[in-house]
Amino acid sequence: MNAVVRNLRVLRRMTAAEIAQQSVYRGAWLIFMLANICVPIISLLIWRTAIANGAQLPIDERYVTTYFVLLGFVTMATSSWMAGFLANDIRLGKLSTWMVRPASLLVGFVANNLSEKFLKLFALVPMIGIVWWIFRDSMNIPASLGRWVLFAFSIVLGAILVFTIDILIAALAFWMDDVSALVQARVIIAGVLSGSVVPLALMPEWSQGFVDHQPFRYTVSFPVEIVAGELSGGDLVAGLGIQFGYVVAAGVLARLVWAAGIRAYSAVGA
Amino acid sequence: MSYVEVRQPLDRSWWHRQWRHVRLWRRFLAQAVVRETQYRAHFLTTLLVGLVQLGLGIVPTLLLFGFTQEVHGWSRAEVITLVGVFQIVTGLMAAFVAPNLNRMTAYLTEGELDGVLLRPVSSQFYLTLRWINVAELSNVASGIVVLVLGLVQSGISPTIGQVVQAVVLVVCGLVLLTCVWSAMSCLAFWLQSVGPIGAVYLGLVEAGRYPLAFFPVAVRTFLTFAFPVAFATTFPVRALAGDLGWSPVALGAGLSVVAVMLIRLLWRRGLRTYASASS
Amino acid sequence: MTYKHAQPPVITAHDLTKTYTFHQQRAGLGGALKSLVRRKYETRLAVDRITFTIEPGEVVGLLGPNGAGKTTTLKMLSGLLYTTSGELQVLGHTPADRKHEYLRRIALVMGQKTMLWWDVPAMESLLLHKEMYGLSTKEFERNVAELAELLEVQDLLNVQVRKTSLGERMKLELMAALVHGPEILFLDEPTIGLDVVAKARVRSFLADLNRARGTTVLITSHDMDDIEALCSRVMIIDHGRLQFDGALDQLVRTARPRKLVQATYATPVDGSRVSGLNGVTAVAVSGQTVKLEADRDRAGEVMEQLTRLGPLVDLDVGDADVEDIMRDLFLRRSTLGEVS
Repeated sequence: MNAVVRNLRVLRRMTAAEIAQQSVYRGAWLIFMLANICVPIISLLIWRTAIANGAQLPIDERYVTTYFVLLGFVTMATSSWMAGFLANDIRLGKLSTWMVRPASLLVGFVANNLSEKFLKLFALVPMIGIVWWIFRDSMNIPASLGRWVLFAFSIVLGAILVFTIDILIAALAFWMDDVSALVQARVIIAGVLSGSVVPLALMPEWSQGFVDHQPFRYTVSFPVEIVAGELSGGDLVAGLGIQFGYVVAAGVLARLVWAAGIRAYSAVGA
Repeated sequence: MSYVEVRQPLDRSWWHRQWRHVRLWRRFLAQAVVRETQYRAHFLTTLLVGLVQLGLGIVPTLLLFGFTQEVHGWSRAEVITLVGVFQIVTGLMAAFVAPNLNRMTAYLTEGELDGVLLRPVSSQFYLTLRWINVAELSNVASGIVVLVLGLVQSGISPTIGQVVQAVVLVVCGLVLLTCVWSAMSCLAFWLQSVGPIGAVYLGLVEAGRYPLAFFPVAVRTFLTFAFPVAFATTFPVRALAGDLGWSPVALGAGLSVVAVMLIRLLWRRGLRTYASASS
Repeated sequence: MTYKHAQPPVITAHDLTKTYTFHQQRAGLGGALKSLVRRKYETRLAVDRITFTIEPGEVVGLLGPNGAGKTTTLKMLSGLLYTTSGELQVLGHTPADRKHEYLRRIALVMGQKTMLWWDVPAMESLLLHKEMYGLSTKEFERNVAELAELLEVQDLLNVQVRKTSLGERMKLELMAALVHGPEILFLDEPTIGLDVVAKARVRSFLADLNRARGTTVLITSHDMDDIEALCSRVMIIDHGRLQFDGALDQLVRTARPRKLVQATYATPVDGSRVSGLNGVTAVAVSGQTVKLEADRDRAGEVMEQLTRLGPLVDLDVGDADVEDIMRDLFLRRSTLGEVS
């Protein structure tokens, strides 16, 4: 228990330090987030045009609008970029010092992740606010606070899931020389399968079975669906359960692979 | 042997000066080709990444036309033609312009501008076109393939005149987009970290994957006059299909000339700030 | 040093001044917004009313401590910086206009910043120069061959620049700067970081260049040896003002730069015998080491005395640096006659 508390404290301190350091570049984050919302807004506009033109989609205009307005936020909130860096640290043998305390290596990455998201939040939320206001009349805003709480909770789970998958991929660096192709592949595959390019509900019929149950749905799409969509109470709870299950499974797998990696690593000699 | 002899003027006329710059650019290209033939892996990765981005970019369009046959008069094949043109345009920008505009902040803060300012060449020309990423031309090739596929599928067979229109429009689009991106990069003269601004350009340019008609009216104006992807993608395809007169072409040409003049003014303003402030 | 009396001066500067105006950069977005509304300006006088003329074929050294304004002056002369006030004509042009006809007649080499492209062989950079300066193939090949021979870099032309040593790189820089045959060569700390051999090569090359081609050379430097080896005329700039403009030997005679001597002994010594000597100052004795400053002309005598102090293990003699000369110079300002 002591170790966990200690790690949390270290995490808090590191996060604060990183935020302080990076807030000098607040302007840069503003520009960065502006770039990030371009594509969701473009998608929003063309799908609304398609609907207005009479296309028969399985989802309505309100769903589509709400989906894309929230997409930028959820994608940012659940994002992770550490796989490449972690893989690099493994490859360059920087783990030697951390092998005794692998938790603190990850604490550093978590701190970096949280601090950047904190700053991006300040840049992103006003911009999404503006878009929201423009399209306020055609959005599905659930009245109940409960939904929003579940939304937030699901985002946290989604973020942990993405982070854990990244650890998993990075851990392959214990055996592979160059994991960068895999990292890139994750970004691309996750991009499509998480609903960041197109709402999963619009995927072709024959793929729906697979798409609905694969883990990437539960990184970005599911949280957005909680607000945008027509998830009934039962579906909602089931979905959260599945999401939690995926988080646990990924966590267990990551831990196993990591432990195996450390064993292989120290067998060879650091 | 003394250099202090009566010399021929460097440029006998304005045309000679432009030609001197063209010869310099040819040397940039020759050097880039030589340099890149040594890096086959780089070529392959660029090709691969380009194909993946092309594929990803086309997914929404394909899905969209799964639910409808046409949108605002555009069939799926015509939109695919447009994607082909988009790929060609972005490939050309990525090859000739992007490598430089992405480094503009570094050029200014690391003093590379000084090395160029005292050469008898236009510093703006040099810093916009110096580096060439030859491997990105593979995306131009894949764009041509998609374009041809789209033309065949949609049954469009343009006349020579229409092809000329389309080519002129694409050139105007390239010039306009380069000017816009260049203007965004010029902010580096006044602001510190303009790095992410390239990302804003890349985000906005994605609108070029879709016909102008897919956007609400207000956005269409923006995409024609403020961020003119329309000239780079929608208008050329409409020209090939035969629905465009010569007036958009004239408009494009006119806007291009104005844009170039403005960007040169902006650069000169930036240089004035640089040359009075740097120590 | 060929003076072409029939020709007008290549550089005329009158009351040349450079002031920097800058506003306080406040950190963060809030600070940036505040700066938009209310700006606090500060001015810094970098160059203060400098006046001089340079004739064709001269080799002039610009001396001065760090931050004195030498590089700023050089940048104004070449055209990189706008002048704040004063008149400046170089080869009949206003440098800051940066007319192509002007730029092809000058060259600037900065010792600390390379203008060659890193990953390519030097020859590629030279070919770029050929196009930029509109050189004919015949003229280009002739110049390259000549310069390569003079600088002894024939084998380096096809080696990537980043694989060359610092000394080799400076030679290649000089070559690139001269391939278009400029009439004026501006050099900013050209020998900085070079070893003794490389420095000597660069110096002799520049001397040859001036002799054979009549190229006017303007060098800024920290290094008295550079100046001594090359320049007949020296301009000293300190705190932005031209403190001295004249012949080098006059400067040396008047400034009397000192020698710094450090002697180490096998056993502790008593330094009192040397402190009283004529021309010796700043004696510091600590155990087995004696450090002192001596006038150049007394240095021999002082060193002889030092050997008598005890069993000498090591004797180090160095030149007082430029700051010392400045200090000396300003203490004796009345004898020099102020030039400004």
